[in-house]
Amino acid sequence: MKKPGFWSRRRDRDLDDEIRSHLEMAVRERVERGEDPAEAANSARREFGNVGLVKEAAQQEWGWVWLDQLMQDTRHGLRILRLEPGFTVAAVLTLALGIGATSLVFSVVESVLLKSLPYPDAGRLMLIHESLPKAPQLNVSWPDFQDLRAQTKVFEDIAAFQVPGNVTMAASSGPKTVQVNYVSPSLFSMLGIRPVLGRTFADDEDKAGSGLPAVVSYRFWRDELGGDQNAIGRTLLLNGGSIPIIGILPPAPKYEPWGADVHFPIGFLANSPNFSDRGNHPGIVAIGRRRPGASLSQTQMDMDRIMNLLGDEYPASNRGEQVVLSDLNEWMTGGYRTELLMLLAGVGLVLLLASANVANLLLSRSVKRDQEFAVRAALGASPARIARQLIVESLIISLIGGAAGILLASAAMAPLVRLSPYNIPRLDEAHLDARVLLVAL
Amino acid sequence: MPKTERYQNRIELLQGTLDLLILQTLQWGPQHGYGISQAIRANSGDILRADTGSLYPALQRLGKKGLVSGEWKVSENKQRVKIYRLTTAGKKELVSERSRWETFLQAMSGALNPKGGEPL
Repeated sequence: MKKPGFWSRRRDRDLDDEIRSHLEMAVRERVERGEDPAEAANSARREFGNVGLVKEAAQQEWGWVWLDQLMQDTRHGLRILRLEPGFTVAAVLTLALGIGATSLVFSVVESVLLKSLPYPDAGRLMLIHESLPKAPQLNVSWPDFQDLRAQTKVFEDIAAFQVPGNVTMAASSGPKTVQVNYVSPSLFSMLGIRPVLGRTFADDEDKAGSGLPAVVSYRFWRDELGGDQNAIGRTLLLNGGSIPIIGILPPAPKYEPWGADVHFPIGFLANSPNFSDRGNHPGIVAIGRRRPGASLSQTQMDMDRIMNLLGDEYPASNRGEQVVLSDLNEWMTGGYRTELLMLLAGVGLVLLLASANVANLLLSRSVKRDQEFAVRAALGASPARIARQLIVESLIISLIGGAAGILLASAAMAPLVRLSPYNIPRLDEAHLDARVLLVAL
Repeated sequence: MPKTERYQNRIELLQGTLDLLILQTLQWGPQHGYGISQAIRANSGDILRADTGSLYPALQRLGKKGLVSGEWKVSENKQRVKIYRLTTAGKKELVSERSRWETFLQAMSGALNPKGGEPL
């Protein structure tokens, strides 16, 4: 038996006492009229009725009033809205579009811009580029990368990968194109990526020569190798060479370099002319993790120091060359930041417009309803009551509109993710979450 | 201008009449719950019964609305009884309820005996 809101225990005892005294007086009156006491007790109780039910009924008075009125207001509101389908549909649709669009864009913004990368200590990760007077943003050169890595005092570690390319794999079903990538061994540990099977590269494997080992992506393992639990040791036939698999990576998002199917140690390329030439910049992406507590200016100064030394030592390639640092997080999303924010602003305006529109509709409607309000006031409705009922009406519209909008947004999200250009980073992580709903409401 | 309120459904009608009867009974003096139910029965010639399942909720309701106030007193028999009285607001409400009731009776009478029609 649920006791409603404002019922207190004292009231409970009082009611008990009241009922008891009622029964006693009833019995006494019967006895005075000549009834047998035992008979009187029974008939008095029978006439009173079920004590429990009476108590319950009395207690219910304390919870129902506002709830009752709310139910009334809601029912009335729904009825009124049903009577004017044109208005209701227009209002709900407008709100739905506004809310749906806003939550969609907000979700995208949230997952692309606001969430940080799924690497541990992602805030300390920095992208390292070089710049020359005639070329302000270059990928690092291989020898520079190695010197920076060896001589840095501020970075815990610097790792690198080369922008992925394609090779042909000989498979039982015929030749297949496979995306390959070259990484420095410490990239995995720096980004907190641990293999689900096998291992990643050891430092001594990171060199030119035969016996090139491979680490494959989770998707490749699942799709091409059938998720074979004994995949370690199997060989792949790539570009005519036979490559042993030494590790399987965990499932990963699509952005570089994890979209590649097969990874090799980057040291394999060390002797190639592209790599050994310090003046050459063959598309190597260098990522470093700052020591905890190291500031950006300290890091920049450290890099400058090393570059100055290199500039003196190798003036032909490195004179005037500098390092440009950027936060990895910002770099990944920066290209789209302006566009996304503008989109968000635009959609926010749409929502405002939609709300204004609906408010307008409501206003024009209430002018028509002047007569209805006058009659209700004459019948005894307090202004507060009428106001409350209007609020309930508006709330109903907002709730329906909001729900519709969210449905629209979630329906639109999936095709949006599929259709968008591949290289918007992290769009595949976009999803509706509770925060968006709160904002929408 | 006296406030008139339209009865919206049957339940409300019954609640309204019981409340009116309670207020009217209390006009003749403070009374406890048992006494009120006896008075209503007696004054209506034993036709109207205020059963406890309606009476006590009604008393709670009227108390919440501030139309009656309840006090615990000790009777001659050394027992605790709760005595209800009309508040000032209750007196005003009684007047307006009565006039509304009169209006209602007249309206019903008029509706049931239309002028110029065939006598039923």
